[in-house]
Amino acid sequence: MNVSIEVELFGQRMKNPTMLASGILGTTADLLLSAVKGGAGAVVTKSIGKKPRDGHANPTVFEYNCGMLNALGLPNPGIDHFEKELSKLKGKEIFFIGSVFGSDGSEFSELAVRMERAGASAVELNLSCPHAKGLGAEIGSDPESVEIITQAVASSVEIPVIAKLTPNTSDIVALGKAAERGGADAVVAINTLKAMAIEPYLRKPALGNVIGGLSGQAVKPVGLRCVYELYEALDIPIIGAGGIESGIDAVEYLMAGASAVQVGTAIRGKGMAIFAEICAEIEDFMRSEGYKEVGDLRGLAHD
Amino acid sequence: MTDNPGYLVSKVLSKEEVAHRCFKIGFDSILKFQPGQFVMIWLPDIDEIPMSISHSGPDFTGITVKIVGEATEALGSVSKGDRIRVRGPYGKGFEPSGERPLLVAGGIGAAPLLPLAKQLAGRKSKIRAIIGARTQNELVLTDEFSDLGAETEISTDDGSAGFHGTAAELCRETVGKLEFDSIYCCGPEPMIVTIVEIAQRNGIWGQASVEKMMKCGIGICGSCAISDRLVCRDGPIFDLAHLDELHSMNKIF
Repeated sequence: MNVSIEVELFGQRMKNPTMLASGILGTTADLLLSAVKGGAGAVVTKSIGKKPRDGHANPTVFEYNCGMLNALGLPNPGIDHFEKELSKLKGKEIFFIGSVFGSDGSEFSELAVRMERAGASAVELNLSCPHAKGLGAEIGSDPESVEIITQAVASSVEIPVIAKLTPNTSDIVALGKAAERGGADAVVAINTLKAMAIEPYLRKPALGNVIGGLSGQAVKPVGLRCVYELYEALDIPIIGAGGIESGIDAVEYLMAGASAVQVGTAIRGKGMAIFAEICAEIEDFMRSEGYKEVGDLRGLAHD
Repeated sequence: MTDNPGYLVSKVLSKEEVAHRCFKIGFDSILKFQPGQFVMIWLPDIDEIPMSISHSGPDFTGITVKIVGEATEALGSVSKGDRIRVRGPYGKGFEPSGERPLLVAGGIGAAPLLPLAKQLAGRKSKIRAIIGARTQNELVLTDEFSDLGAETEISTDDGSAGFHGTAAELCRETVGKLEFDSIYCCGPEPMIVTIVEIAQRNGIWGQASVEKMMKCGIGICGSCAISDRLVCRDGPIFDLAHLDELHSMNKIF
């Protein structure tokens, strides 16, 4: 049986529903291209700000078998440098989404405009990093700010605007609706969960920044719940993220209501080849369960 | 911490000053490692930094640290019995190869080459080592290389001991006189650039250990990216031919 995993997202074709999640290895043009070579349908850059930023002091990661904590703190080379890096993608076949962070609507808009000029197919707003002061989730957990920032960006660029939402809230649907009202073309759910680890033999928090974000298998049930709730409430597409390591994980997100999925932490173990592996497993599932179009899986878990 | 076996809080067992502001430190964790691999060492309230493993024994693993900044200063100040958190080993190690290998170290670059020399000595390779430094009291681990049976030559930039000049210059002279079937090196970037060129010109296979700022150490953050490679995951050991390719594309050095 012939199956198709091509998806159309805000009017653009993607060869498959998998994307490289922001923050994971999206620091150079060559790394973004290697994700495409590994089978990703689209790639999201590292979140970029106006100025170069070192991020938090090490240790910036802590690993569990079921997941990982990070408190990298948005290290990035700044938009001036990153524009040059992105110019190396000109003429290459790549669906790339520029991730940006800022402290207000005008900063987000300025960065989004520069991502658009640099050739981004869409822009993703980081409204959800849980460990950066005055940025990310600190502004992204307030629906009003989400709406204002999304609106500011949506009115300054032609390319689709994606809001990446934080699960560190009692009501992610309110954030999703705010993004939709602001003119977002899609939302991503979820970013990492605010968390920490302690090193008992040193009597210290195990991250330089104390607080970090939990990702990986441990957060999959939270991500699924968020996508499921957002699907019930929103009209715009949802991109699922959180603990996706296999095609079956991806299928679960699609059934919860996702139109596409992002993969991040799992790359630690398997490298960029994980994208092709996930796609092959989605196809296997579709063949064995009798689905021709990957879009047919979307929202199946809903009544 | 059974849930994350790669993370070990270790006790410092030994510390020895082996050169000016340079210390050999042993800690009580037993790590299975390949020469050239590194560990991330965390000094609470200071920093976590990558360090190549330089030596080991049945009940300890060791590093050799040269004080160059705040984190290495703190690491160089630990005492016997202090606790440090070690995670790893990470990265790709050296591939031991050749019957007549040449090892070239610049300064603290001798550290990752020492366990390689031990491994090569175990394979009965006829090792030649060039250990260079700016000045005599900064020469590191020279006796250790000799003790493994390596024919060891010294260079100093100021001529205070051995060959007067850089390790790379001595390498060029040595390769002109003797036959080698592999070259391994670690040291400052200009040294590696010269050795890449010497190896390519003479058709000798080899590898170098490359240094870059690191954050996660486990291949997810991209801080140590060179082109599409990550120093923490695909390195720190790279083939000289690959470095030559990256260099010619202006992607490294």
